[in-house]
Amino acid sequence: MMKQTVYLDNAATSFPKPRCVIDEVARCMRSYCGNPGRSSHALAMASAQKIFECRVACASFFGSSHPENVVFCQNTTMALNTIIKGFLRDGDHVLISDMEHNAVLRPIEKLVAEGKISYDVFPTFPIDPHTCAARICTAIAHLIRENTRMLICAHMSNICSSVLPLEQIGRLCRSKGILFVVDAAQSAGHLPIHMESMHVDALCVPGHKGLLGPQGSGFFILGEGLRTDTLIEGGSGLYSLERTMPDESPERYEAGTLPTPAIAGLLEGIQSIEKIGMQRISSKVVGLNSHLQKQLERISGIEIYVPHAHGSVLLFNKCGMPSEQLGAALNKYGFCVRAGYHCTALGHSTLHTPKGGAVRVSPSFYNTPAQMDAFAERVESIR
Amino acid sequence: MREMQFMGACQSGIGGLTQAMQAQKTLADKGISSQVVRREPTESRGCAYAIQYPCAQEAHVREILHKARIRMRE
Repeated sequence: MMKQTVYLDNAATSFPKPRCVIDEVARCMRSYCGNPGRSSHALAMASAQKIFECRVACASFFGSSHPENVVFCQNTTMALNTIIKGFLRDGDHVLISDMEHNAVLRPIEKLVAEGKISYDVFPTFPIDPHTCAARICTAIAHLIRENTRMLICAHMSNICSSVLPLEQIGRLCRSKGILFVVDAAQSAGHLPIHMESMHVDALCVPGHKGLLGPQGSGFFILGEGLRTDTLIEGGSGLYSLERTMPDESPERYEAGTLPTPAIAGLLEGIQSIEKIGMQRISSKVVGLNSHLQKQLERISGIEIYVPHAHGSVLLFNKCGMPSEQLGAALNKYGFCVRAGYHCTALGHSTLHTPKGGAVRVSPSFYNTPAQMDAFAERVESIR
Repeated sequence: MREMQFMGACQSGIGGLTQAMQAQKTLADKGISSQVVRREPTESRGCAYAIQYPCAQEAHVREILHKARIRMRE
């Protein structure tokens, strides 16, 4: 019998992509994929127009009035690196949450090792089911210094379904003149984000996860009036005789050719979310994980981390079995999950997962309750 | 992009392509047709983008873009 693949690793990248995304990527490559911003011929302008439409869609989706502040880059990691290294200066102090991904921790640690900045980690109390925004904001307020320039946090963790109160944290940052940077790697496409009302100064987003676009379609959105240093320099098609990057956003930050097919696909992904409805997508995914959680809780020796937070990610271990071993065994039966530390040493430490990490399940709108049942049965049967 | 020809066309420099497209969209939202064009390289800076629109609409165009905080370079 042929093994059926059940993909439950959407926190890493969404799969499958909607048909309209795949079709538009192909149509772009077949029909209009000139180099955007490099010429005024028909294909270059067609590519540029498609990219502009995607900027407008991204800005609108995330509550920004400025499509020109939507900057495309490879992925969320590149976006975060640009923001962190572009804005921070010698002597600055930074606050990051205790659930941050290495995409935040590593660039910060690098700047610390170079003697440029210092940082503190603020607690978000994910293990406590009664935690609240006020408690988190109080903890942040205690750590703010005179030289605190930036606060970075993941809106939703990539290892559990814990969500941070962006609006309250944003208000606090704005009142203290601190740049508020949000890593929306897990929440984009799952939870509403409105940059302007949440006081977000820089939003870092993957195109290939919840927004259902192709890999390589990441971006960040800068708040109004913000300008940062560039991470990379090169051709932008604009003011070619000048030896420095132009001032205009987004061209200032987008050195080199943009991946037009990926961005064209991202536009379709965003439009398909709008068509289906983000609330509907989110409810379905949360429902699948809640359903799975109930099944897993019936199995002896299963430990679920942060069981009170119901969302798109479920983290668990089976007693006596290293997570990588369980993940590999599940793969043999067609279940794609991610085991280990998920590039989030800080978060695993906060959740007190054991040596070897844990198994992460992240379903999508396209999974079914029957698949979750089959998954739970397989977890139970694997010895 | 569809080619458009205007009788008595005026051009205003914008700078970046994205800003020029934003200008075009802003004008379209107000019912004014315009075209994004790539400008001849200047000796000091190189290529940039402009929008082209009917000269009869110039005052209106300037007012709309000023309100939208899109900078025109001349």
